[in-house]
Amino acid sequence: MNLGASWSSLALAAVMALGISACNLELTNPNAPTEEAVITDRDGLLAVAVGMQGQFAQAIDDYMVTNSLVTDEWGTQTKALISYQSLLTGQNFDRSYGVVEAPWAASYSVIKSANTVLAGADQVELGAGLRAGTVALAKLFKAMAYGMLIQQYEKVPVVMTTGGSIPQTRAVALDTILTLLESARADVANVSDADLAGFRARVAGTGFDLRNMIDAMLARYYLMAARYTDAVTASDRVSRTVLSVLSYPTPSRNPIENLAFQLGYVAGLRSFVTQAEPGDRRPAYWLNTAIAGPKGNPDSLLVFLRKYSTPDAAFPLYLPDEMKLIKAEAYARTNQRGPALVLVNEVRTQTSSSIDEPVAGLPPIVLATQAEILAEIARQRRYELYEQGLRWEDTRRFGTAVTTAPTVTWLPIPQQECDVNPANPCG
Amino acid sequence: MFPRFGLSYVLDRESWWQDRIGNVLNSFRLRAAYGQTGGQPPGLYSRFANYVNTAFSGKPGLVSSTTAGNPGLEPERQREYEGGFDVGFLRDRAQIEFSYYNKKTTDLVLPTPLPPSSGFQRQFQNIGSLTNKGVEIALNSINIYRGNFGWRTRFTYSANRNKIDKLVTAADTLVFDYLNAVIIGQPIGVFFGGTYARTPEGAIAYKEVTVGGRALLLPYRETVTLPNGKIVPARRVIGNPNPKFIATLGNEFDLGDRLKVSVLFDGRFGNDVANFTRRISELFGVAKVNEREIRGDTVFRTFSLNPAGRSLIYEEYIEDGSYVKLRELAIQFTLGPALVRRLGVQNGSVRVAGRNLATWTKYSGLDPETNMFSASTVSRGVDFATTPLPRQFSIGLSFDY
Repeated sequence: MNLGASWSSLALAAVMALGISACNLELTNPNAPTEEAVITDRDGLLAVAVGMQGQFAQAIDDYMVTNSLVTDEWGTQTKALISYQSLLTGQNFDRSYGVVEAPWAASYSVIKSANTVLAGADQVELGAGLRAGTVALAKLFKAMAYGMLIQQYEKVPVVMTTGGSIPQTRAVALDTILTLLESARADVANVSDADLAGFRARVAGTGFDLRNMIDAMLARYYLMAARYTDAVTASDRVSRTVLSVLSYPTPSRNPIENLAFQLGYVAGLRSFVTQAEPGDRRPAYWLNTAIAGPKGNPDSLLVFLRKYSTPDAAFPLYLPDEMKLIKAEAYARTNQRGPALVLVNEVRTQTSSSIDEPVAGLPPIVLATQAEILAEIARQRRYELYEQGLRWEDTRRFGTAVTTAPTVTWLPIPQQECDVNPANPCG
Repeated sequence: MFPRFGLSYVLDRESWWQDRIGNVLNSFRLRAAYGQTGGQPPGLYSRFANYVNTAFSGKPGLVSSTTAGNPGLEPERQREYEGGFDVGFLRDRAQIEFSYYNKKTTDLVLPTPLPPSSGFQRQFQNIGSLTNKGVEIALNSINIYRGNFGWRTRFTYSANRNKIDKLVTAADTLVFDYLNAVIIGQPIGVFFGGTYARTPEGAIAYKEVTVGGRALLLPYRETVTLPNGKIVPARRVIGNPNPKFIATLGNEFDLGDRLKVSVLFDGRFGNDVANFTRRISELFGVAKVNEREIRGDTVFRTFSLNPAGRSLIYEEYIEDGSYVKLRELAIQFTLGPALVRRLGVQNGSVRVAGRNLATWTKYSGLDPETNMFSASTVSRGVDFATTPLPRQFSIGLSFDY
C-alpha cells in the first residue's frame, strides 16, 4: 500500500469567508418610522395620538362581543363563530379563544400608543394648547382602555413592560384610571377653548368633546369605585346636550355594523323588546323591530340592530342620560331616595332631544324603597345604555336587581398571556 | 468570519483499489466537511419597533406594529458536520450517494410570542438552539441501455430529525399561531393542544352531556390539577408535522429514438396534519359527522353546537398526513427529420406533462401537503380551508433554428 504516491487524489479545500458586511442588522425601514423617529417628531407624535383613537375605535366590537353576548343584549346568528356560541351559553369556554384575547390586546395597544404620546410630548415642541389637549387625550384613552379591561377581566397588568407584569386587582386598576382622568382634567383646566383649536383640528376626532369626555369618564369610574360624591360632582359637569362619538367616515367602517351585517354574526335579542315596559320608545331606537329578525339560534329570538345598521354610524362614547343615571345611583346608594327618583323620572319622561340619543317617553313612577329605586335604575340603564359595553358591569354592581345573570363571570386571562408572561398570571 | 473545510479522498485512484476491487466498485469517494454559517434574521428591520399608517375620523395616523423591536437581536449561527461517500458499480451503471449531517443552529431567531399586555404580539428573539441531523441517500441506476431502449431510475431518501436543545426564553413552551409549539426536547413545531379525557386503561372516556334536552354520552376534554389545586384543561404534545422520512422515485424510459417518458413519484411519511378544515366544517354543520345529526343517529347539534367542547380537543383533528403523489408524468417526442425539414428548423420536440396527477393518502381532507402558514419555520402542517396544490397540465413545443 503506497499512500505517499496518491496525494493528488486527496483534496483539501478550506474556505475562509470574510464577508463581514453580510450581517448588518441596523437597517431601518424607509416606509415605516421607528419609535425613536416618531417620538421625537411633532407630526409623528400627533399622528400616534390620532392612531390611538383609531385603535380604540376599531376595538368597540371586541368590547361589545363579550359584554353583549354574556348578558341579555345580543344573540348569535347562524354564521357566528363557536367562541360566540360559548359566550352566549357559557359552555366550553376557553382562554385560547380569539374573543378572550381581542379586548385585552386591543386595550394594551391603545395604552401602548398613549404611553408613546406621553413620553414624546416632552421631547417635541407642540405649543401649550396642542400639548395640553394631546396629553389629556392620551391619558383619557389610556384610562378608557383600562376601564374596558376591568369590566371584562378580574385582574389586569397595570405596569406595561415588554416581558409582561403581574396582573393587579380591580382596586389598583381603578386607582390608575381615576388618577389618569383627574390628571387629564387638570391638564386642560387652565387652557382656553381657543387654545385647544389646534388640538381639535389636528388630533381629535369629529364630534368629540374632550372636556365633557373626561368628566363623563370620571363620573363613570367614580361610580364603579363607589366614590358617590365625586361621581355626582363629575356628572354635574357634563353637558346634557353634547355628544362625543367615534366617527367612521368612508372608507372606515363601524365595527359593530360590520359584525352584525357584513359578517352576520350577531343580532339583538328579542327579549330586549318583549321585556320592555309598554310604551317605552327606546327598543325601537336600538333595534329594528319593524321587520323579522335574522336566522339564528333560534331565529325567533333575534332582531336586527338599528342604531348601528349603516357602515358610517357613529358610536357614542357615553350618553348624556348615563350621567343622570350615575347621579341617581349615587344618590340611591347613599339612600337619598327623593333626589334619585327625580333623576330616574327625568330619564323616564324624556320625550325629545336635540341630539341623537334614545328617549323613553314613559310616565313618571313612584317608588318607595332603596331596593326598588336601584332596580328601576338598573332597568333604565338597560334600555338607555344598550350596546355601550356597560351591561356586564351592571350585573355585578346591581346583582339580582338586574334581570339577567351573565353566562360567564369574567373573561379568563388570554392563553398567550398565561404562556409567556413570566409572572405566571394563570398558574 | 465563517470558516468552511472540506476533505475528499478518491480511493478508486489508488492502484491497490484498481487492482483488487476496481472491476466491481469502479469508483469510490469519501467526503467530510465542516462549516459555519450565519443567517440574516427573517425580518430585515427586526431591531426596531416600527409604526404603520392608519386613519381615524378622516385624519392620518400612525400605530405601532404588533412586532416589537429587539435592539439586542443577533444573527443565527450554524455549524454543520457532514460525512459521506459516493460509490459507483459496474462502470457507473449504478451509483450510490450517502451523506450524514449534523447541523446545530445557535441563537435561533423566531418571532417569539410576547404577552399581549406589552402592547405587542411578538418579537424576533434569539430563543435558543436547535439540532438537525439526518441522512440523505440517492441511488441512480441505468437498468437497461440497449440500442434504442433505455430505462434509468433515480431514488432518493432523506430522513431528518430535529430537536430544540435549549430555550433561553422565560417560558418553556412557546405556542405559535394555532397549535404549533416550540418545546425543549421536542422537534420544532409539534402540535400542542387539548386532549381527550381517558379511562385508566387508556380508552377515550365518556360522560353524560345534555343536548337538546336529551342526555348523550360524549367524549370530553382532559383536565389536569396544578400543584396549587387549580383544575385546568390539559394541553399536551399531540402530533408532529415533521415527516419521519421523505422519498422520491423517478423513472425515465427511452422508447425508440424519439420518444422519452418520465414518471416521478414523491412521498412524505410519518408526518401529522392538523385538519382544522374538518373542525370548522363540523361547527358549520357540513362535515361527515354532521350526517349523523341529520340522519337522526344522534341528537341534532351534537357536533355543530359543540356541547362537549369537542372543538377544543385538538387531538381529534390530528391525522396521519403521509402521502405518495404521482408528481409528474411527462412524455417528450422528438420530431422526425422529414417533419423538421418541412418546418424549416434544425430540431423540434413536443412535450406533454401533468403534475400532481394522483395522491395516495389516508388523510381525510383535500390535500395533506398544504399549510395555511405557507413558509413558516414553526407553523407547519395546518390545513384550515387551505387551497390544495393544483393539478397542472402543460404542453410544450420547442424548436431550434
